[in-house]
Amino acid sequence: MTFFRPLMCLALLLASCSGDEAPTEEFDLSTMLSQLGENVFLPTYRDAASAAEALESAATTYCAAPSDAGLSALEDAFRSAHVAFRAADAFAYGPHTDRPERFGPKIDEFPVETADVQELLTSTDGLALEDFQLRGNRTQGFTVLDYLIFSSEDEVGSWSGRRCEYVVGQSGRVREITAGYVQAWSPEGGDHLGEMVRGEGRYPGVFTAASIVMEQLKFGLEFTRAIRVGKPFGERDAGRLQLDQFEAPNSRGSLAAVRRSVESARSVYLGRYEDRAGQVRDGLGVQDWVGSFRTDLDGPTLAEFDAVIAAIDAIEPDLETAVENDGPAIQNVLDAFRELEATIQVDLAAAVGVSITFSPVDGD
Amino acid sequence: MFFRVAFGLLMAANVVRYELAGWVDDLYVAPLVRFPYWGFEWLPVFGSAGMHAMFAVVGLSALAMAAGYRFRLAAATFVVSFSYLELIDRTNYLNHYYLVSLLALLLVFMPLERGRQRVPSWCVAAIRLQLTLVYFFAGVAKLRIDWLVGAPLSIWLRRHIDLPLVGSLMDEYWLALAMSWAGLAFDLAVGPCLWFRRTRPFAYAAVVAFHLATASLFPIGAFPWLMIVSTTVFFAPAWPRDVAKGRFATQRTKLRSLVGFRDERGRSRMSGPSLRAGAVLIGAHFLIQALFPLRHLLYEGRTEWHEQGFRFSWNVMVAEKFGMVEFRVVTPDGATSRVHPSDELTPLQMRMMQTQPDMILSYAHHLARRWRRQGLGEVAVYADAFANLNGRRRQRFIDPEVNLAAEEEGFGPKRWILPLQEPDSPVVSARRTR
Repeated sequence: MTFFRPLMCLALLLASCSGDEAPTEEFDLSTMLSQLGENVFLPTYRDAASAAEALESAATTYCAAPSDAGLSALEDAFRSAHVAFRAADAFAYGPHTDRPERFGPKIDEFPVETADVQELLTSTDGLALEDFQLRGNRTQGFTVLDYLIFSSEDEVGSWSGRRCEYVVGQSGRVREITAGYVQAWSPEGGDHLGEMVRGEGRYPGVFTAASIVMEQLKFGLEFTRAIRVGKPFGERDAGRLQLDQFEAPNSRGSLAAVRRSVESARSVYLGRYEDRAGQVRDGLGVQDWVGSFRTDLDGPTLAEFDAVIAAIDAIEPDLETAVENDGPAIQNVLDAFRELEATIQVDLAAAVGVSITFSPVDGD
Repeated sequence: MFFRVAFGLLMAANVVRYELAGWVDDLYVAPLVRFPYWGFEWLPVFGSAGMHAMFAVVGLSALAMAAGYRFRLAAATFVVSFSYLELIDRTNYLNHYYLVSLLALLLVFMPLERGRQRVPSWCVAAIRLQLTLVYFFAGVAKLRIDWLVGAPLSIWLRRHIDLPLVGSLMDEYWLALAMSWAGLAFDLAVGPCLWFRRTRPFAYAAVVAFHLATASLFPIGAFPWLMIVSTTVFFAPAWPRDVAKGRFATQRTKLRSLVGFRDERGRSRMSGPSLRAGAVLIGAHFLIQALFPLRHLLYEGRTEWHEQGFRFSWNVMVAEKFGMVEFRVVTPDGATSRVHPSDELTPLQMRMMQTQPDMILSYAHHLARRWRRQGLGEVAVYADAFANLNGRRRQRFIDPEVNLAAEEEGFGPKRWILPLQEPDSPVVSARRTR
């Protein structure tokens, strides 16, 4: 009977094959990559670059003429620039991680090395960009700006000259690098997007390029869950809180960063992005790719995105406080993340045939 | 002779390929954690120099085999060094590397030194039988509903939709179905067809076509070339000379001569106790080869899902699984730490462990040892593992309530693997509901 069961099932299958056909609408991966690039990746990086310009401008203005309003504007500009950059988490590959650009580590590592930063503030070492080439990444970029702008308990206007120099210099670095992302991705510059769309260079084939999109969707979420939330929560350390592991503790911006990172993943999934000016761009995304094979996964996936966002929004007043005082709320966030990650890594990946954590070695 | 030379050169080339691709470092040097086979945990693990040296031994012994230089010693050295590399980490298990080990093991007993003009016919027969068993069991393994409805292939072919010319066909269901049945028919039929004179040329053409097609579509390394080369043993030993002279005669296989320990002229190469010992050894080998792939019948449930009895059974490309796993370690005082295995495993180890329960168990034991070494006592280790099989919706893979640190490795049934809930693959259910 065991032997005949497959044959019986097959007979049933073939008998039912004569009816409606499966959805056979053509789906073009190059078009998806192109539209994701034009509608999501490039606008996001342009927004991040524009927010970083505003940050540098605010830093320069404040340091030139310190005032309450100037400091407040600088703080707002930092928060805007930081979350604008987080909006690119779901496609943090290519120029973000690969040489020669390898932009990510230059501005996007945390937590801050406070001892090194304090030493820099009190020493006479150079603070120009070239002086940081041999210094740790955690004395640079967003993490150090979060520390320098928000941790000072000094009176307004009493920042030392070196602190101002440091803030202005690092704001300039963030502006320069975010502009570098735009340059590296755009067709007029490094044309990283073109490499993906054509399946060239770092991407041996369009499917490989599309696979990277799917992989980063998962890894971006995993990083946010495990490192931005789970680590401070002590998930890896027997529940012992690691309060020095937050991403942006001084600005209390860690929660906003987490939320924006999830929105970034949702943008790539949907192929839709609303830019800082409120303009919505919509095109093909991972949702359409998966949908070309399986239509039943979209509803659960969107619901799981919503569940993560809802769990994040339920945290009050901020991540730093909730980690200490509201363990169940944090646990809800982590659990919601895990469900979504599993859906992406197992269900969506299987639907399109992408092997997450792919290793280019022999199989079977 | 052709087989000896081709097999040796192919294996040597494979070593060069591993070195050039950096896989010796990536797969054998880089791992911080290993997944040795049960019973082989005692094997020492060498550092970088040792691993590269071991690959050099594999390569040199393969070349010596090809040259027929001290053939049996070379073959024995190859078996030991190659098998060592396989046994120290289940991550690197490949069906065709298992076949390489078996073929090389058979070669150890064969008089194939350089200069020998003729070999006993049992040598040819043994290799032919070994290859036949591989194809046969690979075909039997495909007699599963998921394969018959084209579920695994429909997933794999999607990866080729950007191929020029044929790419647009690659997500067509009929193609997956047709290729599945063609693969099944090939595996079941090619072995017997290679044995018979009339069908042999067609069967070999099918071997070449099938393996070239799979080589172009799937990353299966040396396997296609190994089979294309190895199946030439079904031709008369003089076939290279015949081809060189422009004729390609096919000889009738004399069954009686193949099962005896005699050469092609019928002269006995062994006698008395050595004949009996040889016959017993070869007989035992093939008895094991005939039974071992069937051991999965001893376990309940879907073999592709729980993977008990899956390895060493010629389950060649029969299933596609996707998985995700994390671990919880609970100390005696109740404190829980979550472990992300990707912190210390290589990407390939992660990919393999996520869908292979015995590797999940081994990693759980590794975590328990790690905590013990840190003086944190006897911890409990739980897995949050999810997986799917051939495109079904994901489900929990491992019972999250079972302390894996307390579970034993071995051949016993692993009751902590949760049964597959969705019986039919989505391809079937989709067709039924539309």
